[in-house]
Amino acid sequence: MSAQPITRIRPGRGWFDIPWRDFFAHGELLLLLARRDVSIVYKQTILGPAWFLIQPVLTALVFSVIFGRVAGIPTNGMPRFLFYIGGLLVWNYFRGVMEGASQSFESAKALFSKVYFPRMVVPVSYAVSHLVYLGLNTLVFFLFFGWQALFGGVRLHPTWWLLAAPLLVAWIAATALGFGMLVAALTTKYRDLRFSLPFIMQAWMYSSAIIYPLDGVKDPFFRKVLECNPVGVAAEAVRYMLMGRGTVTWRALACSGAVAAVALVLGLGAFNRAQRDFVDTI
Amino acid sequence: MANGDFPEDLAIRVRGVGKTYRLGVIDRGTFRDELLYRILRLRGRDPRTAMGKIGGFETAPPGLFDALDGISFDVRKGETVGLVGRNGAGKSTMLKILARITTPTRGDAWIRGRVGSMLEVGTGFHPELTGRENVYLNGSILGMSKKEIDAKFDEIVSFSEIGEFLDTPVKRYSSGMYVKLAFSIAASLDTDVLLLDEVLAVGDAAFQSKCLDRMEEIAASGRTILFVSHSMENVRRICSRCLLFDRGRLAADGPADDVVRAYLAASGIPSPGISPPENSA
Repeated sequence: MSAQPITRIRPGRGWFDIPWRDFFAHGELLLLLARRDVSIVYKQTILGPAWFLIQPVLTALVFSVIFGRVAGIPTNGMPRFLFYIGGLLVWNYFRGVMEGASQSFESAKALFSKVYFPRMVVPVSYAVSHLVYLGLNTLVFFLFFGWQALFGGVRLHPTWWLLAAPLLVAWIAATALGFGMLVAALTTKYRDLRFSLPFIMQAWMYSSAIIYPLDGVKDPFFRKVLECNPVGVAAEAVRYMLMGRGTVTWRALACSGAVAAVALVLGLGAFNRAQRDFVDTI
Repeated sequence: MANGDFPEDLAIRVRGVGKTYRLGVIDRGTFRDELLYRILRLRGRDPRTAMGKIGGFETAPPGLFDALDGISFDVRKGETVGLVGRNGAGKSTMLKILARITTPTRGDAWIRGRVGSMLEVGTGFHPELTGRENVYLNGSILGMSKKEIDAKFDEIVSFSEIGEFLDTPVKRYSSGMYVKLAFSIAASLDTDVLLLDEVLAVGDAAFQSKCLDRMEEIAASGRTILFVSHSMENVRRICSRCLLFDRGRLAADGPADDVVRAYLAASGIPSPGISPPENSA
C-alpha cells in the first residue's frame, strides 16, 4: 500500500505561512499556464507571433524620433535605436510580469473559485511566459546590433558581464513579482488600484532610465532616488552588458537591491494573505 | 506527522470546523469594526463575543455570520457520504473548505490522498482553453504528469460524450457539455477523495444515470466520495451515510435512509415510497 499524502486544513496562520513544497510540486502546472499565456495573447490576430518582433521595433522607433530627434535627449554615445531597444528589453519584461502578476486574481478567478492549487503558481507563471518575449526582444536587439557593427560608425562590444544575464533576469523578475503580487493583494480589497495602475506604470517608466541614461541626471538628489529604482538600475546594467556603456555603482546596486528584496517579501506575504479568503470576497 | 490522531482507515477527519463570514457592509462603521476586530484577534479574544460587549454594540456585532460552526465528523476510506440540507445550510461551504478553495475560521481537518472536486456546476476550467487543454490543465492541477494524464485521456473523452467539440474552447460549450466534461475529468483522474457539489443538476437524464453508475463504481473501487445534492432519490441511491446540515451546524449523521427521512419530515414534505429501498432506481 502506497503512503498517501495527508492534507492538513486549518485556519490561515500569518502572512508567511506559504506552502512552498506544494508550490514546487506544481512545476508542470506552472509551465502549462505559461504556455497558455503565450498562445492566447495573439489568438485572433492576423500577424500572430510576428507582433513579438514588431512591437519592440516600433516602440524603439517612436522613442528614437520623439525623445531622440525631437526632444534631443542624449544617449551616452550609443546609437539611439540600440539604446532604446536595450532599455526596452528590461522595461517590457518588467511591465509584462508586473501587470500579469497584478491581475492574477482577476485572470484566474474561474480556476481559483473551483480548484485548489498553490495560488502563487499564477503570478510566477507570468515571469516564465514573458521570458519568451524577452528572448525575442533580445533577438531583435542583436539583429540591429549586428547591422550597427557592420555598417554603423560607433564601435560597441558586449562585455563579459553578459554572462551574468540570468542574474539580471532574476533581479527583474523578483522586482516585478514583488510589486505585482502586492498590487494583486491590494486590488482584492481596494479596487481603485486597478484604475491607477496605468499611471503608476507610466510614471515608473519615466523614472527608470529607459529613455535617458542615468548619467544624464545632474541633480544629485534625483540621481540618488533614481538609483534606488531596481528597474532603472537593471536598464543601465543591461546596456553595460550588451554595449559596454552604462553606469552601475555599488551604491545603486545596494539601494535598488534592498528595494527589490523588500518588495518581494511584502508581495509574497500580502499575496499569501489575500489568496486565503479571496474567494469569499468576489 | 498528524498520523497519531488520523487513523489509517480514515479518508477525512473534520474537527470543530467553523467559518465566519464578515458581511462587507461599506459604511462609516466598517473601518472601526475592522480595526476593533483585528485588535481583539491580536489579543487572542474571540471577536464574535467580545465585540458585543465593547464599543456600543448592543448584542451580536453586525456583519458577522457563521456559515459553519462546530462541525466534526469522520469519513472512512471508500465511504460515499451525502451532504443534505436546505440552501445556505453550509453544505457547499463545507466542501469548499475541504477542497481548499477557502479556509476555515476555526478548527482542523485532515484528508488522506489526492482530492478531486467539482463544485457548484463546474470545475477548474479555463474558458479560453479547449476541452483537450482543460483536461491537461486539471490533471496538472492535481499534480499529475503529462504521461499520467495521457493514460486517462481516452477514457475521459469517451465518457464525456463531447466528441468533436474536444478542440473547441470551453467558453463555447453548452452548460450540459461543460458539466459532462467536468464530471468525466473528476471521475477519471487519479483521486482518492471526490468532492461533488450538485454535479447532476445540469446533465440530461441519460447522463445522470451514467454518472450515478460511475459513482457507484468509484465507491466500489475504494475511493471516497462526498456528495452534495438536493435530489434525495440520488442521495439514497449512492450514499450509505448522510450528514444533515442545518444553519451551519451538523444536525444529523447516520444511515442515508434515516437522515433523508428526518430531513424531509423537518421540511414538511412527506416521503412516500422512500422507505422501501427497492424503489429507489
